[in-house]
Amino acid sequence: MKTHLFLILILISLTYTCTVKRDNSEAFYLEFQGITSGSEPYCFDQIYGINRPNWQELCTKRGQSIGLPLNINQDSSIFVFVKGAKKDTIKTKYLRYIDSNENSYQLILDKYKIYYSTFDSLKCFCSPSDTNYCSNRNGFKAFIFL
Amino acid sequence: MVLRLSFFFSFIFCLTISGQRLRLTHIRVGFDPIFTATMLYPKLDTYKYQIDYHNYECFFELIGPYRISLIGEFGQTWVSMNVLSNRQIYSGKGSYGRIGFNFDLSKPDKNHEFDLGWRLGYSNTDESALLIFKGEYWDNELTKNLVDRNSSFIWGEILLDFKFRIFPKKESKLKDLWVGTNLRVRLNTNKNDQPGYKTQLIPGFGLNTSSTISPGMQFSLFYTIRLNRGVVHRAHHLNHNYEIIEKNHHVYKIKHRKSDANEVDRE
Repeated sequence: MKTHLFLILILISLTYTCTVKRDNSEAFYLEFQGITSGSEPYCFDQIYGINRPNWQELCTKRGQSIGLPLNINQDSSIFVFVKGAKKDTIKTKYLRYIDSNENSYQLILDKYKIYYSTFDSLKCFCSPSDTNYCSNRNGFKAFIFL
Repeated sequence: MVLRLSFFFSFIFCLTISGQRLRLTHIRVGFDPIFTATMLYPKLDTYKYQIDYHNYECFFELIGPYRISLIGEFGQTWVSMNVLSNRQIYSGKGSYGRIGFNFDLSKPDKNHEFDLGWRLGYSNTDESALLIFKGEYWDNELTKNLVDRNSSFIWGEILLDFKFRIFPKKESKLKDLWVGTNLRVRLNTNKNDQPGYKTQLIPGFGLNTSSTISPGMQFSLFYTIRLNRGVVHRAHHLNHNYEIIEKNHHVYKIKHRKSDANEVDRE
């Protein structure tokens, strides 16, 4: 009888399956980097997407960018940068599509473009370089000369 | 659920009545306690957990005075699962049935049984799959419907079934309660003919992988209903050329008996 119960316990434990927690957020970023003359970081008072809360990273310097997540449900994202009384805006546009093969589906954002900017000097750095669009699967970089 | 259970028990009652006329010796009625226990789980958050699986399965076995018994297994499955790193929510709801027979390989014994079995399975499922990409900061998501359809599957199974009486003492009130486990090899015949989106989980079969052979293991808890007492079990195994008579919880073995089973039964 004890052998039988032991056998049952062993077999039940063999069928036990784990549940796995996973993150399911998507990450496409506008890598926003400030090019300053010195080594001191340049900090904004606020950075936020339209109708969204303030972003937690506010400081940038050469080699240290702020990753601003893009809106995957629209073809554009607008970010507002506030420093004192000055308020600047960047509007990015991109192409969205879903790529699939036999085993996976992947959201692709491509052909990024700074559609509108109120910064005095802003430049996109893309790879591969294209005069009209940036092509990069995870997002793209924009440099501002402060 | 209640309606299905009442239908099942009505079905077993009819089997019991007709089984006595068919000279059946026992009817076994049971369920899979592990699968059925999943019905008690609360519904999980499919965003956080990989799979939310609910299933119940019950079966009956018709046992006559020979080593071969007929089996019917029925069940229903609900599944909701995340696949592809939580990007895809797959939902399926389907029912399934298997019919087949078991051949008793063991020596005639009142408390143990070791069977080789064959099954033919059929399932029908309504399934849908939704592709979801979540944007945390913007608090939104992009969705795309991948499939919304009804699918049917048919497959074969070979299994080794071991079962034993839980309370072998004859004075026990639960002496007819048995527990069993079986190892199955499922051979799918038509799942790879499916066009387009591939079904993730086939009710009664399991996960749909690229392999045509799928192993499995199941448990069973069942009760044996005695119909005709004192009948002869004829041993057809090559190595055990004797017959076994079970009467009033006593087993009598008769070696090299040539008389017909019905003759003994009339004694």
